[in-house]
Formats: sequence, structure tokens, C-alpha cells
Amino acid sequence: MCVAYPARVRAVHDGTAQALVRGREVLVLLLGLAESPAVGDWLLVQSGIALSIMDAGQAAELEQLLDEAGWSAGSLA
Amino acid sequence: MTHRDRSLSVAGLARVEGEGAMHVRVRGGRVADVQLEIYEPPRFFEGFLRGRGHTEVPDITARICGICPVAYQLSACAAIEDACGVTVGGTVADLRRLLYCGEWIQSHALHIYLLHAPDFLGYDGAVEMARDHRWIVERGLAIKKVGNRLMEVIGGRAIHPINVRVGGLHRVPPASELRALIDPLRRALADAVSTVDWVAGFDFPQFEHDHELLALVQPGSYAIESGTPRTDRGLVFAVSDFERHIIEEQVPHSTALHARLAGRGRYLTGPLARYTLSRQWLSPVAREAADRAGLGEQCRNPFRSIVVRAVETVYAIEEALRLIAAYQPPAAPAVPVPARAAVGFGATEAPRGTLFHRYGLAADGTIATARIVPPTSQNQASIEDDLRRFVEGRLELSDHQLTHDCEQAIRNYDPCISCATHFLDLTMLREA
Repeated sequence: MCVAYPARVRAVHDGTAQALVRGREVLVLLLGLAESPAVGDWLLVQSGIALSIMDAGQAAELEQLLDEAGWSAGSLA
Repeated sequence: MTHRDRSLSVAGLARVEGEGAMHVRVRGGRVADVQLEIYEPPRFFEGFLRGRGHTEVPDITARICGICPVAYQLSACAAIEDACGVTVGGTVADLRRLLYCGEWIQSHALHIYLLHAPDFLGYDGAVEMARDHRWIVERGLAIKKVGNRLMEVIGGRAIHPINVRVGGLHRVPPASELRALIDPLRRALADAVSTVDWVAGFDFPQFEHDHELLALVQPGSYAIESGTPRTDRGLVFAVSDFERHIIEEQVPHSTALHARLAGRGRYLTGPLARYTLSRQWLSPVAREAADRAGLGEQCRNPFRSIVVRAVETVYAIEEALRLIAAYQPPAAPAVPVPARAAVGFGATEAPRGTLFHRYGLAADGTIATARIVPPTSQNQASIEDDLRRFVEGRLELSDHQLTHDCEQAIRNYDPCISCATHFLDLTMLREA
């Protein structure tokens, strides 16, 4: 859906990454990124596409907002 | 259960924005009922806008959608400025149109490449498509990125821009920031033209609708951020008369309202309507691409909406280049918008269709009433009608194939269910 959300990279493949979104593993498209992320990086993801690499502080801030709003992984990805 | 009597359910439609379901009931070999069920909980935006200040509205309504926030911001600004008797013109209006072009480019590229094209090429989604067609997906993402970049430069950030304000913008960019976008936009224009040629070669089912088509029209240009509502059957009315002509009704199976034209019935808004009503104002390269794609004077096949979106992407890029070439930074980024007790109306063309806002203000600018009519709720009745006819011609198919085909048919409309109140579950009931 249209809400952008943080995802933490667990494995990088050719053009895609396995990433963890609020406890659920999802496949994320990396082809829009200028550089490939490393395992452990945080991504900002929308509609399954990685928009950018985020720092851990930004990701924590977004996670907190999603907690407050009661968003689950199923609602996002 | 036989094919003459059955029910079909899509219990989770992928690649649409939001969550919903679709139920089809077939009795005696005929489609008895089709319901597009939007079960996403109501979001109450109109309710919690009440009591807020008139200058807060664009930043609140932007949160309705992560794909088309500019549409919500600029329809809101148009309505508030109308209520306060203020007109935003000149270069600031051009910058707002340029920002909106960015949104059209990124939203259309997202839908064409990542949500809709996989249907035509037989993939479950963009990730699967990218394994076989990596450079094509990269081309789509490159187009999308240019749109997002436009939104960053003018709007302050790519998602939920923060630079739009009632009366204009908070900051206007220096010409150098916009000139830096010219080369990426030129590359995106070539990619967008190639996109039209690519999608025009897809296999499209023979299927046409007869809905009345409604879009804003702005003679001389392809309407985006302003215009007058008009239909292909001759109905024209002022934006302030929108609610006299568009009747919204609750239906039991949806948390989004259904809309109809008063005394006329269902209608369709969005790319097919815009193309039919404003084709003559497409830019030269966009019109040439449309001609090459065989779109003709009008397009009534919803499956070919992917071609129209691609043509509109070409247009939005050409228009962005035109606006940047003419850009001279204005003296001021905004005009004052003093509050007054009044009602104001605004409408713009969101990527998915006409988006109407109406606000009632108290003398100090406090929002007393708010009404937002998004495109997806306007299109629901027409989508259901199309699905009814589409299914009726394909009843010999298996439930699995028919479910897949219905999901694709729904994606023709790029429905933003989140905006309309989200995702589709399809149930098909074939019964005696």
C-alpha cells in the first residue's frame, strides 16, 4: 500500500533484498537505489520498492510512529 | 457446483493501493451480482479537519495518500483560497503545476511498471518481472525517480511534500535547482516515449465501456491543477456546483461512498476521461506517441488505460521541461490569505482522476465543515459495472483464471482504496 515504511536488510541478491518489516520477512526491489545496501542497513520502502537507505535513527523514529498508529506488517507489505 | 451457478471471491487483491474484496455471484449462467467491497475502516479525515486552522489543511490532507499527496494538498489549497477570495497565479501557480507534474510522473511510472505491466506479461509482481526483464524495470524506476526528484526540489521531499502552503509555497527554488533537472527529464522523456511503444504492444482483451466520462478541462492545456468539470456528453458545471451534480451514497458493502451524476447515473473519471476530453491539448511528442499507439480520438477500453497513463507520463515530462525553460523566480513565494467566513471549492486532476474538496470556514479561519470526494469512490459504480460485463463474457473460465482476470481488470483503474476510505479479496458464488 501507499505508506512508506522501514525495512532492515537480511540478505542481498541481484536487484532484490530479503528484509524484515515489523517481524515479517519480505522481498524488496532494490533497482531504484544508486548503491546496493549492506546486510543490517535500513531501507525506506514503498509499494515493495526501496526508495532510499536510512540511518538507524530515522528508522527508529518511523517504527515508533507505526507502533503508535498500530500498524502491523500485514497492513504495510 | 457448475459453471452456471457459482460464486467467485478475490480475498486479497495484490498491486492496488489499499485493502478491499470483490464478490461475484453467478446464477443460471448469468452474473447476478458484483460487489467491490472496500472494508478498510473509515479514516475520518473530514471529521478531524473540523476545528483546525485554514492554513493547516494542506499538510493534513497530504497524509491521506503516500502516492498522490500533492493532489490532496493542491485541491485543499484551491478550496481554501477560493473561500478566502484569493487567486494564486503567475510563476507560483506554474511551480505548483510543475510539482504536480512530478507526482503524475512518479505515480504513473509506479502503476505502469510495478503494478500493472506484470499482468500483461504473466508475472505475479514486479520482483518476478525484474528477474527476466531487469532493464525494463530499471527504466520504469528511472522515470519514477525523476518524478520524485521534481517533488523533492519543489516540494521539499518526495513523499508528503512540506513546501505547499495556502497562498502559494513556503520557498521557491532558485533557477539553478530547476535547470539541474533538465537533463534527467530529457532522458526520462526518451524512456517515457519508449514506454508508450512498449505497452502499446501488449495484448488487450476486446472490451469497451459506455460510461459517461468526467474530467476537468482547461482549454489550451491538459488539465492538471485546475479546470472546469466537463463530461463527454456535454455536461459542464462550475467546481462550486460539484455537489449539485455529483451525488454520493452509502452502500452496505463498502466503507467508501458510491458516486453518480445526478439524473444521469454512473460515470468514470481518470486517465481515460482526461484523454477523451483533452486530447487536443496534449504536447506534440505525447500526441505523436498516442497516435503511434493507435489510441485515436478516444479510448474506451479500460485495459488500454496503461497506454493512456504512458502518454500522460510523456506529457507531464514535456510540460515540466516547458515550465522549467520559462522559469524566472517570483518576487514572493506566496500571497497573504486572510481568513473570512465563507465556503470554498477546489478540484484538481489527481493521477487517478478528479479530486474535489469543499471547506466551510469561520471568520477566524477555523474549519467548520469539510468534504473530500476522491476519484476511486467516484469510479466504484463504473468498476462494478465493467466487472459485471467482463465476467459475463468469461463464465466458461475456471474460477482460478476468472479470479486472475478480474484482479487485472480492477487494476485497470489503479484504484487507490486507501484514499477512498484498502486490497481486494474476490469471492465468486455460482449458485442455482
